[in-house]
Amino acid sequence: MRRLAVLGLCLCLFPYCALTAFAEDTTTSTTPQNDAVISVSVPSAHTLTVTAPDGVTVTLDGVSGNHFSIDRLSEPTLAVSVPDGQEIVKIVLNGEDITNRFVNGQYKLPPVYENLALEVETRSVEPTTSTTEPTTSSTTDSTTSSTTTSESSSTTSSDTTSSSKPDSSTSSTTTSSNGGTSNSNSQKTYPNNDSPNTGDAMAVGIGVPAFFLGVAFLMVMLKKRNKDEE
Amino acid sequence: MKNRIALGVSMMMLLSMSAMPVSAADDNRNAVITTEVAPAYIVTIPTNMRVPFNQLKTDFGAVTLTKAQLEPNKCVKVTMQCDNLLDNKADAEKTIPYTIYEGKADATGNVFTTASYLSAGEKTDLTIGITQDDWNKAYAGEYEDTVTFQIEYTDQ
Repeated sequence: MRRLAVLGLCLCLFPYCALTAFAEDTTTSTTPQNDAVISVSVPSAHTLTVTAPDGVTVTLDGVSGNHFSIDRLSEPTLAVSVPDGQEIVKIVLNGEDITNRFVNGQYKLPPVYENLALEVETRSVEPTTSTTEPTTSSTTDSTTSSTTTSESSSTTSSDTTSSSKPDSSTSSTTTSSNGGTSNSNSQKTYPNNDSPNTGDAMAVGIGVPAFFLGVAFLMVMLKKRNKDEE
Repeated sequence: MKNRIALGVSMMMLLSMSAMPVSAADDNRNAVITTEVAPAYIVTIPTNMRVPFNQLKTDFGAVTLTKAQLEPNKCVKVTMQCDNLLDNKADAEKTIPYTIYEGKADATGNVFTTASYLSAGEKTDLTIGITQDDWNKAYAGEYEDTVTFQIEYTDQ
């Protein structure tokens, strides 16, 4: 009985024991992480996509194709060639006309930092056998006739090859006869793999004898006229 | 004998803890109740951000004072710290400069460095800016930088 009383008293005392409580610290509540990471990924290569008419060949560092992968910040060399009977009108790279930047049919790209789109515009040219000489018309005419004669006596047909320089303001059409050597399968690399001086040299080479023939003809005519007057 | 002593001690402890009625006196007495509300605030900062390649302006999120129980003449000041250079992970010599502006990407303002806030809801939109010239010069690879937001509870 006494034990029960002591136990009951102890149970009564138990609720009066002090309990420790932790107050929530709300003085400063901030985000647990105060850092933010900014990241960027720069690609290691870019693409060059070519849009060109059939027959036009685009090469990048000597490799032809219509879709290229270019290492970032590299400087590959671009070349465009057109088949016979066509000439370049315009070459556009990412909206910018780069036709005039081709030297000897090649253009070294600046460091590539983005994807590129190349568009080549061509047009058909009429085959012509006349050679134009911008200096004197009389020389041009005689050259043309000489050329025609040469072609008519040739055993194999001569092909007319036309090309244009990147600078459209100085573009010209030249004709060359290969004297029995056919070049029907050849493609001229833009803007002009053949030296334009070739046509000029031929014109001069044929024009000089024609000039002397003309002078001789005039002298004969003058002598004949003098005789007639006498 | 021991039991009696223990019983007696227990009874005395019980008596000492029991409520004792106190008769109220006739005179008035003032009771001053004091409490202290500690200042509390929550600041949210931008999360990690991956900037798309060749993008000139990228929304970076915002610094926002989400909750604020501030004392008078006090404010929450947020200061941003970074070196404004994204470092190439493979070659630290290669970097991409960047700038963090106030405002959203379509309407950026001044360069952000610090801002003070007084009430909940105040915020500053941030934008990461990388110039086209810097993009063009960047070498290939992965770049990153850490931006630290220092938060202070300070006088206005």
